[in-house]
Amino acid sequence: MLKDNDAISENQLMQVLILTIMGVGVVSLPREVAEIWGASGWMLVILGGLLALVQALIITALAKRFPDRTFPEYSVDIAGKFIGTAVALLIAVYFMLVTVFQARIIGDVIKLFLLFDTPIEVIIVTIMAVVLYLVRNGIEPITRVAVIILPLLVFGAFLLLIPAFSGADFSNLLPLVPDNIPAVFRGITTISFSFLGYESLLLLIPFTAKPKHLNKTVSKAMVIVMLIYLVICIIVFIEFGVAETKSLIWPLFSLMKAVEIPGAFVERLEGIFLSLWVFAVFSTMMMTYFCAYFILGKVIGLKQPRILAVPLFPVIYILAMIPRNVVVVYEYLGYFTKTFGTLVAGIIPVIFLILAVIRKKRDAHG
Amino acid sequence: MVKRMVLFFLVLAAILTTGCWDKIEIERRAFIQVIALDKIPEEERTDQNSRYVASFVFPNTAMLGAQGGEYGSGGGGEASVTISITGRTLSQCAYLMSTRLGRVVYFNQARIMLFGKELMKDRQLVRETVDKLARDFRLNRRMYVGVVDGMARDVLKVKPKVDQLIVGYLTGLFEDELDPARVRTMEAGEYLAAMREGGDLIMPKLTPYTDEVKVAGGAIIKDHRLIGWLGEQESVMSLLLEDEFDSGIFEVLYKDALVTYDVFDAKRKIKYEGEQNGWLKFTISVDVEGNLAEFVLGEELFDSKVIAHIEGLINKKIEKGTRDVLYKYQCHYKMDGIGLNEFLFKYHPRVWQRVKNNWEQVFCEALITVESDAKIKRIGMIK
Repeated sequence: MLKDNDAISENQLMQVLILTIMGVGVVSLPREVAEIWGASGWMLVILGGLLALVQALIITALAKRFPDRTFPEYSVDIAGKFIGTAVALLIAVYFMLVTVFQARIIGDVIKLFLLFDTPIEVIIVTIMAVVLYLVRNGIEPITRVAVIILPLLVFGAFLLLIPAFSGADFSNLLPLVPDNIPAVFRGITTISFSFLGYESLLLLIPFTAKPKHLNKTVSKAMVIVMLIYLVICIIVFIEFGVAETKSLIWPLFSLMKAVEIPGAFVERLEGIFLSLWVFAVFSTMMMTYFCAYFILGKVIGLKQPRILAVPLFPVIYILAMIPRNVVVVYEYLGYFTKTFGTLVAGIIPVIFLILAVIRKKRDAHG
Repeated sequence: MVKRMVLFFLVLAAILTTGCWDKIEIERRAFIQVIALDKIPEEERTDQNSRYVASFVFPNTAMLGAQGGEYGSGGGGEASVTISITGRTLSQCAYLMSTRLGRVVYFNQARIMLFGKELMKDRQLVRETVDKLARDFRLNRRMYVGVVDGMARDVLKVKPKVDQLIVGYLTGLFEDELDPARVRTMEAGEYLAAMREGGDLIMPKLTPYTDEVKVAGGAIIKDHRLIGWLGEQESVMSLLLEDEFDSGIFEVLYKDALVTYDVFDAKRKIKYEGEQNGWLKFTISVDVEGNLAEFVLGEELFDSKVIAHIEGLINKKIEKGTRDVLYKYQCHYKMDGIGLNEFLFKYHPRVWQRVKNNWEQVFCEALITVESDAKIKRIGMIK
């Protein structure tokens, strides 16, 4: 039932997954881990990553039972017409709100760091217009763009981060004992939210052509993201120390302001870094935007869900303009990930997987 | 129809692609190079509410243009301009500066930020400036900071002997590669981090004269407030204990003549030795490497016994000097200037958890031994 050109390879799946996970969260991640665990917070990235990996594998296991159908199509089979539709609708709203947050935060950051006098409305609309142009043709253009963006992003970011090692103090990573042991459990779940984006597997896996090593591919993507996060946290910690990291809203941008390339004429790299980061957020937005309109379309029962892409645009834009200020945005975001994030990425896949196993629902050649 | 569509798109393109909200021509910007902040002196206070005097130095770009890019040649004003503004807050100073100049003030290129003595003595003002420095994305974390013994703006009035611009002169003083024998340097990033972590730190001290600025000694900041100064020699010894010492010279008296020891590398190691009668015990070992640079005609140094003897003299000098500065920290200022708290936090977190609440007292009572190990590596070209 899928069109021929709407198929991606496993390798492409991995790259899209990495890009979907890395979005607006990465710039504030070091602060979050420092707030929870102090100087040993960087280790939290590993633990949070492992929890996220387990959750991603649960989603993979669920999706593998229905290799040719997307979530809104089989959720009805598993949980019945009413609950299945309601849950699919919830997930569609979730993806739409994720897009809203990405759009708003990228608008706020660009306005603060780069374009001081440009109205935030213009920034958001221009970025979203590009996203819309890309996503309305389905999964394949998205993956093609992802394959172009990923190497650019990874190499560019690491080239910029290397100079940060000069003059940094590695003893800032000590002590290895967290100052607040009871916070461990709460911390792990909070940081696993930084890996959100893997729930797009619900939609990505059915598009993957002839998957053989899905578990391995998904694990690989998650571990790569974990390593990137780890390196970023360590670099921020050795540059700023814990107390300073805690006070910075976007430690990664502050790091870029502090870095200078020794002996080079180029100074203040945050402009270059910001443009790379725009790519990262852009690639997250394209995936979540796609998931939102696709699931919504399937729930409504449209043959061509893409006709919903354009109507969603004003909805996302208006929702993005609602929060009064950047503090409120981050408060909403925290609340949103805690409730919706846990539900969509953690609880729903587990319940649906259990239900599917109990009711023995699975497609023939699974 | 086609013509209409083309026209439509042309109009659309004209509307959407022209104009840019953030365009500023480069000559409309004032590139601030040095920022000097002072608490306003009582006699200059015209407005009851003003609290700061902020002085800014920026190059006279208009003059550069008139001279066809020739830097400072011919008549027509100074190469750089200094402007002082009084205001209630730093933001107001910057804003007033911008409106009076009729230019967009651009702080990203600032290299030096100086604070006046009176400002640093006022805890509230210090905390405000720290917040502004960290909050404003335009200020860069790589600029050098320092405390001026006197008014910070007096440094800007100095006419350097060689350099034409004050910013070049000051940056040269601070820059690492210029053998900062007794020069303490601090970047805004370190300053902010130390202020954030409790506000106990030693900052570089600057003293302005008519045609030069002396960067020597240190300003002791405790709980976000200037409480005293370190002398030149004390500052050097403190740098050894802080593990910030890069290079410098020591002189010791041997056989009625001065031997000059030129240090090129120094390392510090702290060891926690447990407790004794409820006092924490530390051993700080300072490893110094250097060359003999100067002695007196007629005496030979090419003898391992002589070298060992001189090394002993240097060790004694370092141990005495560091003891003196430790005494000052422990008994006089009651302020941990050498980073023992950071050491405990990182390497002995359990001990730190126990003592962190009355660290000031614990530090003052701590038993600290300094062991110096000076190595003479080379003695020059003669015996």
